[in-house]
Amino acid sequence: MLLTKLLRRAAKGSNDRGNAMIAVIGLLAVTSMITLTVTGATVQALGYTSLSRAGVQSNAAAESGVDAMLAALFADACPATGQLTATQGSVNPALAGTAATAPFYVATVSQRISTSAAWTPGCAVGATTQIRIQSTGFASDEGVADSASGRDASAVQAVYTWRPGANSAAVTGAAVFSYGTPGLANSLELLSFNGNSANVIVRTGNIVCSNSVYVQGDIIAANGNISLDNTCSAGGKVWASGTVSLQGNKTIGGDVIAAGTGLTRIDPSTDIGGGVFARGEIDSWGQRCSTGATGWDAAGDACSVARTTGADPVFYNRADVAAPAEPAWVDVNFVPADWVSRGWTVSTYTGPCTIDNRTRNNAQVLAFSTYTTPTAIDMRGCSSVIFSSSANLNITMRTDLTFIMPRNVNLENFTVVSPTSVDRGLRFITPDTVADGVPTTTGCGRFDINNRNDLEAPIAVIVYTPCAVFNSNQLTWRGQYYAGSVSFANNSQLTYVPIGIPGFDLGNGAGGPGGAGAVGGTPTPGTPGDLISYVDVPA
Amino acid sequence: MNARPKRDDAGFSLVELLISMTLFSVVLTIVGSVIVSALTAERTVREVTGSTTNGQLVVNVIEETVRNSTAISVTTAADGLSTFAAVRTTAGGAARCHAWFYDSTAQAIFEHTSVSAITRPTPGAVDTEWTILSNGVVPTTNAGGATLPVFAIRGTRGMTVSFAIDGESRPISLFITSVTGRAPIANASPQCF
Repeated sequence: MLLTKLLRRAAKGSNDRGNAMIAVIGLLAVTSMITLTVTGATVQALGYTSLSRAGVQSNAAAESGVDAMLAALFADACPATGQLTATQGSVNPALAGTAATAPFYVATVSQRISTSAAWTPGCAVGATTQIRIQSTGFASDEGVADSASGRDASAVQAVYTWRPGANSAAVTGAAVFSYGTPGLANSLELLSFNGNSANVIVRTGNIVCSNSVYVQGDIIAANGNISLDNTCSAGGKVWASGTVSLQGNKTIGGDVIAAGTGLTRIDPSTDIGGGVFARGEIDSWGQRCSTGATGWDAAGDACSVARTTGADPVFYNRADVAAPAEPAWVDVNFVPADWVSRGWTVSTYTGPCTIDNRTRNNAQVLAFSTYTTPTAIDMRGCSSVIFSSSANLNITMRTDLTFIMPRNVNLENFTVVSPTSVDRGLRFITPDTVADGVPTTTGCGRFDINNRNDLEAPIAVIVYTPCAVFNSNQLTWRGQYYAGSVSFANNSQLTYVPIGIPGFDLGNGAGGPGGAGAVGGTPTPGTPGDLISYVDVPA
Repeated sequence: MNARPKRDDAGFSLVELLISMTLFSVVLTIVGSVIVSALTAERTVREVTGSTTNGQLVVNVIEETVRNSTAISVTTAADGLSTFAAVRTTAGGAARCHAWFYDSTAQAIFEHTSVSAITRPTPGAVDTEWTILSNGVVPTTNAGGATLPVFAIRGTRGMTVSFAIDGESRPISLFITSVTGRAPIANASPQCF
């Protein structure tokens, strides 16, 4: 401008005024273009950056919705509407007003009963095998340009297997619980597994054990005496409310406890890992310690036991030796509605009562291997059920199965396999229909298990019956027994895997008052299982 | 007849011209500086915004794909700088193979998707079936001065991405991020590496 003024003054004319204007306009044009370019690039970059920020925030919100729904399902708190929501204010208390009430995520759950079934919105039901959680998350800082609004919301979808609660019975109880006198003989092995001690508990009656029996856990007679003969050993303690008699070479891993006032007899060839606690006196025929006594010498015998068996300490005539608790008998009746409420399907069996080589292809028999959801098969329409050795029955367990049996059962030569490594529970239950706290044996025949019955991991079995169970001939099973009486003979091997019965606690006598007619205990809820897929989906 | 010169036709004296030219030069210098510096700033802003956007685009594409992956593999070419990342992903629908290749020769990140396994290309000779995601990509260095690979495996399911986008004069935008696949591990139908 100064130059212009000077030139004007020098020229004292007005013909050159346009030159200055052109210079100014030119400068303005150049700077304006530069400004526009810079502004445009900056706005575009900010828009894309805000797009990225919104995408990260909305993705995190969506994933937190999945996590929140999972936590609710694990806590058995699936929302009744099948939908969980959260606002921005719930995750950022500093927000207020509209910003606080804006949605953070919306998570919904659906379920289906098989991989080919359609998804049904809502919480899992009894037959559910898979659940799907879909969650939409929203960015707290939305994109600042129109083009950046595309990632303000993101959605993810996660699919999990569903573990029904029906599989979660109280896993307690002994390996063998026999209410009455059992039979333990002839190459029997009861083995502990996975930290569960294979115990034999007899409620009422003496335990007489002979011929190569090994119980890896405890042998307990709650109301009777115990007599172990001929290499009948226990890995745990031997505990009787009465007396204990140990004859022949054997090993007792734990204590020998005799709460009865009678004479406890201990073979000097016995190896005792714990102590000996006897309420009465002890008789042993090893070399007595010298006490100076000339007649019956209880002290000398006790000293002999300590010297020959390795037991430490050895007490006798102790009034404070306690008897084992007498466990209550748990009456397990079969009430279909209770099983249905726990996610089981109840199927009434109308096929042949004797399954042999002629009837093994009956549709209802073949159906045993086709069930894919936990199924209770009520076979009580038969007065007796026989799985004949001629059938050579082979069952493929694709889910948990429970056979509700009559009071006469004969299982021969059958094999159960699982197509997967998932744990499966197989239950044979003869219901006890009278809630009296004792086995109701009216109409009882036998529950025979004979001739090469194989049942290997991951399958475990429980046999429940108020009647007598007889095992013989090469039994190889995993599981537990709870019966009026249980006898083993001829090469039986049982690995203790407790699976219990849904709604009952066999180890602690739980299951309602007496249990019959109602399923006791609290239903165990189902939970999400393995993750199958986790993907982004359109919001 | 000699025409008397009109006053309006009188020219500038030499002194006037010298003064005016000096003043004009000063003004031109000032205006020129303003324009040059504005152009420089404009170029800088354009480079920064462009490289930032390019880098974010690369990272967004990789993150979305790896987040939805079921298996991942990272290998390094013989030159020690070019890295190849392949994933099996379900992003966007059906399972497929997706791969990225940082070519240290071309200083670019390429991507390729296929329904079958993708093999690592040769640095400097990337096939035309590969799409270029960004040019001007250079590796970064850590605090100790060691060069970081553009793609590096992280755990068994994740990948770390580290690179800078080069401007005309220097690397101007740095990107370091990591992402992990969420779905259960699987590398079949298709097997991607």
